[in-house]
Amino acid sequence: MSASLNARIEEARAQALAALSSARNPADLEKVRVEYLGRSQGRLRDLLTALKDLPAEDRRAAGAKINALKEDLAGALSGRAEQLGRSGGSSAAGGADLTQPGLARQVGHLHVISQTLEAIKDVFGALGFSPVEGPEVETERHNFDALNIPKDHPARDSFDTFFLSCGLLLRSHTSPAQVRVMESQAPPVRVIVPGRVYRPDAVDATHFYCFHQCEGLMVDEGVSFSDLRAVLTMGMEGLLGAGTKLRFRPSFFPFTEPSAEVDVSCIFCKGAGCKVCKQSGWVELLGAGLVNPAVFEAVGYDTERYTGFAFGIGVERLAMFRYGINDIRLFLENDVRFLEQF
Amino acid sequence: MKLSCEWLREYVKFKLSPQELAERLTAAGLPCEGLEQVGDDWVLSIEVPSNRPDCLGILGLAREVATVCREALVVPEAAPEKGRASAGSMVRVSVEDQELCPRYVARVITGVRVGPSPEWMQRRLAALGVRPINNVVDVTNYVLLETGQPLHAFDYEKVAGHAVTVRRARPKEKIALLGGVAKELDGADLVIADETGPVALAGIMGGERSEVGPGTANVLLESAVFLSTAVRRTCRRLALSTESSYRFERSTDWNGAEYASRRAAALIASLAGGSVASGAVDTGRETPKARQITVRYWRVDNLLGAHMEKHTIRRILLDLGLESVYESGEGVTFLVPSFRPDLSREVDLVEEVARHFGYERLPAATRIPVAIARRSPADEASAAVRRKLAALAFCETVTTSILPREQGLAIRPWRSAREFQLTNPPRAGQDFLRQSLLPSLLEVRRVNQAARVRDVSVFDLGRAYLCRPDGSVDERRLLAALDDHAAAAADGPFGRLRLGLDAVLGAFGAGALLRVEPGDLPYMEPGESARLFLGDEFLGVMGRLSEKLRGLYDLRTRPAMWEINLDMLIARGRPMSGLIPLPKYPAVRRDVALVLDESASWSTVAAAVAAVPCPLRESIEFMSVYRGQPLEAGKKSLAFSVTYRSAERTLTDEEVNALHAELVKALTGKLGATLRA
Repeated sequence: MSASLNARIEEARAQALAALSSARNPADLEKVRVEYLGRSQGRLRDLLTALKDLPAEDRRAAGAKINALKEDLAGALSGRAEQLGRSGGSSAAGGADLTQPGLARQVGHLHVISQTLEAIKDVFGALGFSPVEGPEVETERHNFDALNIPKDHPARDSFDTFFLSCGLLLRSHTSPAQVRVMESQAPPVRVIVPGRVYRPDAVDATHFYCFHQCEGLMVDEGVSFSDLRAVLTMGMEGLLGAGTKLRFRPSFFPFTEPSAEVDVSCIFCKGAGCKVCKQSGWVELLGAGLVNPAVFEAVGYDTERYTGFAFGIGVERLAMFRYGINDIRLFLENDVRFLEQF
Repeated sequence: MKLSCEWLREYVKFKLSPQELAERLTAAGLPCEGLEQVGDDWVLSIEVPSNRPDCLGILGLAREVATVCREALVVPEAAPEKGRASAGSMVRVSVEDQELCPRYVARVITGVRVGPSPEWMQRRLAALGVRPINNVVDVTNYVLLETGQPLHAFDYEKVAGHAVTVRRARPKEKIALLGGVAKELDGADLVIADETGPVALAGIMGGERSEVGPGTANVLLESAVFLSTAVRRTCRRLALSTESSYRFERSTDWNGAEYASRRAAALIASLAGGSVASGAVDTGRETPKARQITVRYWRVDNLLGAHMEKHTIRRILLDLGLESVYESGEGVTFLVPSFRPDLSREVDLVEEVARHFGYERLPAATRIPVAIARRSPADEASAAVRRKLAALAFCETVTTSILPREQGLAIRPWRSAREFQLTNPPRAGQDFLRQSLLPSLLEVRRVNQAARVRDVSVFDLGRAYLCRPDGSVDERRLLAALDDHAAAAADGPFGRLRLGLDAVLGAFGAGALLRVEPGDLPYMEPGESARLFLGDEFLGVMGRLSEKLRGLYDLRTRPAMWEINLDMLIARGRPMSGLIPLPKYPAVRRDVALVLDESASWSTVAAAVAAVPCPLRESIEFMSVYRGQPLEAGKKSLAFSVTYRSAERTLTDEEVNALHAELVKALTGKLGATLRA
């Protein structure tokens, strides 16, 4: 069979079907019918006429093809006519209904905690902090002792802890990972440790016994409190938007000295006072400070040569603040209607 | 710690308003959590950090205020008039355990008239939430609040033999405490006892038997130092907490014990009359040596990243009560007062300077060396897997690792030498550290069932806590997915899950290695349960929750799910596949529908296809499966498409038809299938 006639047949088929599907009313359909199936000037008639130019042995096959196309088109024409008749008035008036919404399709979502952690990794990654992980089942040494939190000391009260029957515990903060990082590597260190922590808190809108923190640690020669200020200010601006302000208040953590609680200006009221910040204009988001030399001693760093800072971000707190979520229990409950909002 | 502004003014003449005072103290590291007007007075609630026992007394806070305002601190006189009798002749004190009680100061006041304390004292106590009782007891409470040193007054005549022993309690010894609470003690508890038994639980609470009351004429006044850890242990065990124990737990001041004793004795004598026996019985042996700390000027600048003037450093530390003992051009050596146990290193002094200079006045650095951040392969792979599953319409969940025991035990796809159990679980029975994410996902299903969410496709990437045979912890990164849809899908209950699984495996270039081995798992429904392997390695499990376990997880449906060992995939690495060149020539697709026995699985069909060699066959793709009329029972129709393509030319219908016919013929022969009409 002649390749070119064959191609013309297929081309006519494709074009006719396309024209049919874009036909909006009986007049359009009639136009298509006349163009392809018209007795005197239809394109199929032209194709049939072209048969005579083929070698005799090819004519039969080509003729059969054209006839098949003719039948197909006739069927498609009546099918489309029926379709148009069913859909009635609006189509008859011409044009598609662009006001009609699409059918809902299921879409996946990353958990808001995951997204927040990714944002933290992005922002602090840009500041040179590499994410590392640490175990959640920890030893007393890593969770407390090496962090200068003595046994039987009220300082341990703020780190109420789940203990395991085997003598290990569930870490009550991400700081033990600081110790592990420093035990395994010499300075300079610049890491963040995002992860899950546990505390036997009574569950309410702001407390859950399992939540997330992100620890940060930078150690080198000459790392100072002003570096801490700079890194946290840039980090929070990255996470909460340009113009975010930080307020450092002296505080006490056994593993940092000097220590600070860091408040962030409320992104909702820009510091004017609103429900989210309890009218104060500030929200407490971080704990931070210079690494206590006692911690360096515990990991064998030279306390005269190296200084460093550490900070901890409450991930749920940050997410609650970023998205105006008012109940921490929503995060781990995983109601799909919640998950789908992020 | 509550702080009355009126009371505070007795020690420091500050000119700040209560609101300003609250702000300044907060900025100095003593956060004010509340400000309340009580009559003409204002009372601040200060959250004192656990390392600042000195600030659990108003005098200690006054020292901070004096430093903040640069005003003088006035420490009250504490010189009782000496009576004729000497304390030493009136009372004997023996301390059996010097470690638990390094110092015990006893004074005796005779001839007191117990009655109400003066109005000003009652008002101050009430402002701080302490109920006035009588002038003697009120003085002990007053001085406790003033100095942070707990005191106890005994009725001297009710202390048998006028002798007290500080000793460990005998096993099962009992004490009736003030307020009528009886406690049984053990050998770790420290008591103050007379000949007949305990009269006080050391540092925590006095006993009923020796209580000062209206009939009391002579008072034995105790001011002691008790070991903080011992007080803490007893308090925890007996579930007690008092103003006194709170302070002892945070450690008290060696010298403060002696000062407070004098201060209280003088106040009792002046308010309740009576005469203070001269001197005191003091068991304290050696006064601990005051610590010396040198602060180097350059180190302050080095740590704070800002230049601090020498005179600022000196001024702040002197105002806080430190004493300069040596100065040079390099720095100053200070003597640390005994009321500041938190100051033990140079850096502690640097914090004092920073705190009173003002954190907010310290600059932010403008130059930090650049560094490149690197994400671990595990972290990157986890992120990639999350994105893949979300793209396939799975919602990510984050679930707790602590499970109700029964639920955690029921589904354990992974070998673990032992289980991890919490000794202090968040809820009774919820003490199991999970060994699989599947119970967590089933809980998610339950929550959504309760919320009337019909269709759920979720995944979780999290840790399970397994134990290796050598006893070490294996916090294994697992990936699990669950799918539960009300309407039947064309690809069956596992179709969506398989899509997800294949996408995950594909991310590690491991798609072709997957082997699904049907076999019964105790928690999955028989016949709908399989083990997954990657080559010969166990990768995970897949199946539908068994009917038997449905009730345990409170479900009305039986979700389909899988769980795999993500660490195993991560260890394989993610091959960087180079670009596969885009095809130049069109593909030709042919559909087949085979009528097969129910028992013929997709993998048998796929294997049969693979067994027919054909270089032009590019891929096969599942389309649908059909059961029912007009097929016989026990038969199904499996439809799939086969794609043919040549890298060198456009294939013609004829040659594809021939190749396809050959394939179909081979398949029908090998599988005993018929072509569906």
